[in-house]
Amino acid sequence: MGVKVDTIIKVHQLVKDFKVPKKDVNPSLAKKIWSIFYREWETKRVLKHISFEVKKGEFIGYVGPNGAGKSTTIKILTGVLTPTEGEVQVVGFVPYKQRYEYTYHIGVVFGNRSLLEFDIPVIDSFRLYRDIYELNPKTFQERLDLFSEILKIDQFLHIPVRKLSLGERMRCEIAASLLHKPEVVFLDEPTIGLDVLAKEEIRNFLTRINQEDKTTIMLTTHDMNDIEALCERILIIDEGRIIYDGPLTEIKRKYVQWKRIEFEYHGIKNPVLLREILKKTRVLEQRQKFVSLEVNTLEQDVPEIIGGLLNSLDIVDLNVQEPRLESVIKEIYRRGMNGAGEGQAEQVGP
Amino acid sequence: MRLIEAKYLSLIRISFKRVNEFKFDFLMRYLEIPMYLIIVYFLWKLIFRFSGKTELGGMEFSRFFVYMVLARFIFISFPFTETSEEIEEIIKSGQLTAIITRPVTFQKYVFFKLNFNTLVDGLLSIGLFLLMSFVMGWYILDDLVYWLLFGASFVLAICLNYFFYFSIGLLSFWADEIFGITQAVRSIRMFFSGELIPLTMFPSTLLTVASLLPFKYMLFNPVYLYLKKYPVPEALHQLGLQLIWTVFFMIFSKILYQKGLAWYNSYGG
Repeated sequence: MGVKVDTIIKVHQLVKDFKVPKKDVNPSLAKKIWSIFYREWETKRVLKHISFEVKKGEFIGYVGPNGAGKSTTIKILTGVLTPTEGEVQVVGFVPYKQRYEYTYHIGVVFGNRSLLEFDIPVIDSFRLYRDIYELNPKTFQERLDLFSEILKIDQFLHIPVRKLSLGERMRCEIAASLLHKPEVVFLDEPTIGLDVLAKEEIRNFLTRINQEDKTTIMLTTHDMNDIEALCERILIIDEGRIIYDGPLTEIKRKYVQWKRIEFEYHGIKNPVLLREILKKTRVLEQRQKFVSLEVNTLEQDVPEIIGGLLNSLDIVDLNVQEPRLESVIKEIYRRGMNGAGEGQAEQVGP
Repeated sequence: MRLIEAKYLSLIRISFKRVNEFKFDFLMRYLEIPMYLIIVYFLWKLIFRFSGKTELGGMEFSRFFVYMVLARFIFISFPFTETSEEIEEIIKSGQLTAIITRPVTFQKYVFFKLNFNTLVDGLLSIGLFLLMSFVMGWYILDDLVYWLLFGASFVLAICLNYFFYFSIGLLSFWADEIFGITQAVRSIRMFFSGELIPLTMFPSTLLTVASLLPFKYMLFNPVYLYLKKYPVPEALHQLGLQLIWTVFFMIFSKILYQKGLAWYNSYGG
C-alpha cells in the first residue's frame, strides 16, 4: 500500500464484522429457557468497505447517526480493534499490529471517559502522563506553560479532578492527551455537555494546536456547531458506509435544495407579476402583511424571485435563510445510501 | 535495564497519593476491631472451656486468639473484591479503551496502580497489629528468620490475592455482572482460607481439600508463619506452593485477558 508523504491516515476498503445475538421475533418458552444457557450468534457488518485518506495538518469532522460505525472506525484507527478486512495505516503504523509503539504518536480523547485520576490533583495526572510518554522535563514544562496560557488550566492544577466542573475537567483531559505533542489526535465528543463559553475555549485551543503544531485532528461529534467552527472537511458515515466526503463549504451547495424567503410589505404594486412569482414558490405562512416562502433552488433562480418580489410589492423587510448544517446533515442521513454505491463516498470538490 | 520502568514507578506514586487522600477512610475500616476483639475473645473462650481442651487446632488459647486477630487485620487490609470490581468498572465503563490507546501494558498498569496501594494498606495494618500486640502484651514474633519467612509469605499472599481477583474481574468481558461470582467465591474463600477458623481445626479430608485450593495461601499461611507453627523446611515448602499458585494465576490472568480482548474484538464488548 503506497502512502504519500503527506498522507497521515490511510484507510482502504475497511470492513468490520461483529457477532451479535440472533434475534428470534417470537420465541417459544422452551427456546427462551434454552437461550439462558446457549445463545445463537449472527454476523453483523458494521463497516462496509470504507476508504478515505487524511493529509497531515487536516482538521476533519467525522459525523453520522448513532450506530453508523463512527466509534468502530475510531477504535480501529486507534488500535483497539482489528479490522475484519481491509488496510489501515496511521503515521506509518498499522495500529492493531504495532499498538504499543504507535500510541506514542497519537492522542485520544473520549468525551465521556476520563484519562485523569479522579482522587488526586490534576498536576499529578499530568506528571503520570509525562512518564508514560517518556517526555523530558523541559518539553513537559513548555507544553504545560502553553496549555496554561491557552486553556487557563494553571488555576486548578492542584485541585483533585473530582472537585472540578465538567468544563474544567474537559480542558484538563484535552491537555493531558496533547502533552506529548502527538501527530494525530482523535477526539470523540469533546464538547459534550459543556456550556457555550467552555465550548468556545476548547474550539479556540484546538484551532491553535492544529495551526501551530500542524497536528492532524479527527473529530467525531453530534454538535454541528463544532463542525462548522472547526472543520474544513467532513466525512459522513451511515450504516457502515461513507456517504459524503468533501469540504464543508460544498456540502450545502450540493445538498441544500431550498431556501426560505421571509418578507413584510406595505402594499401591492403589481398583482399580476406577484401571482406569477408566487406560482414558482411554496407559501409556508401568511399572516397580515408577513409572508414566508420556500424556493426550490434546483428549479428556480433565487435572485430572480427576489427581484420579482421587489418589483411587485412595497417591501419593508426581507431576509433569505438557508437551512442550518444540522438539518442538511439530517437530510443526508434521511437519504442514506440513495445514490452512494458500495464503499463509494460522494466526492464533492477537489 | 531498570527493574521497573519510570512510567510504572509513576503509577506507584499515584497509588500512594490515593492512599494519602483516603488515609481517614482507611483508618475507619479498623473501627470494627474493638467489637470484633470482644466477640472473638468471649466466643472462643467459651468454646475452649466447653471443649475441655487446652489446645484447639494445635494452638493454646493465647496463640489462637492472636491467630484470629491477625487474620482479621490481614483480611481488612486486602481489598479482596475491590480488585475485581475495579477491573469490572474499567471494562464496563470503556476505560479499557483509554488505557490501551496509551503506551502502557494493561496488566502492569493495573498491577502497579492497584497493588501497591494494597501493599501500603497491608503494611499499615501489620504496623497497627504490632502496636496493639505491644500495648496489650500479646505474643509478638521474635525470630528474624521467621520474620523473613512471614514477610515473603505476606507479599506472596497479596500478589496471589491480586491475580486471583484480577482474573475474576476479567470475567466481566463475558458476564453482564460479576457480583454473583464474587459473592460465591467470597463464601468459599472465607471457609477455605482460614479466615473463619484455623484450617488446622478441619478434619483431615477437608484439610486436604483446603491444601489443594489457592485460598489457604492467601491468608492462613502468613498467619501460621507469624505464629512459628511451620518448621523451617515445611515453611519453605509452603512458600514454594504459594509461589506456584501466584505464578499460575499470573499466567492465567494474562491468558484470560488475551481471550477477553479477542472476544471484545469479535463481539464488540
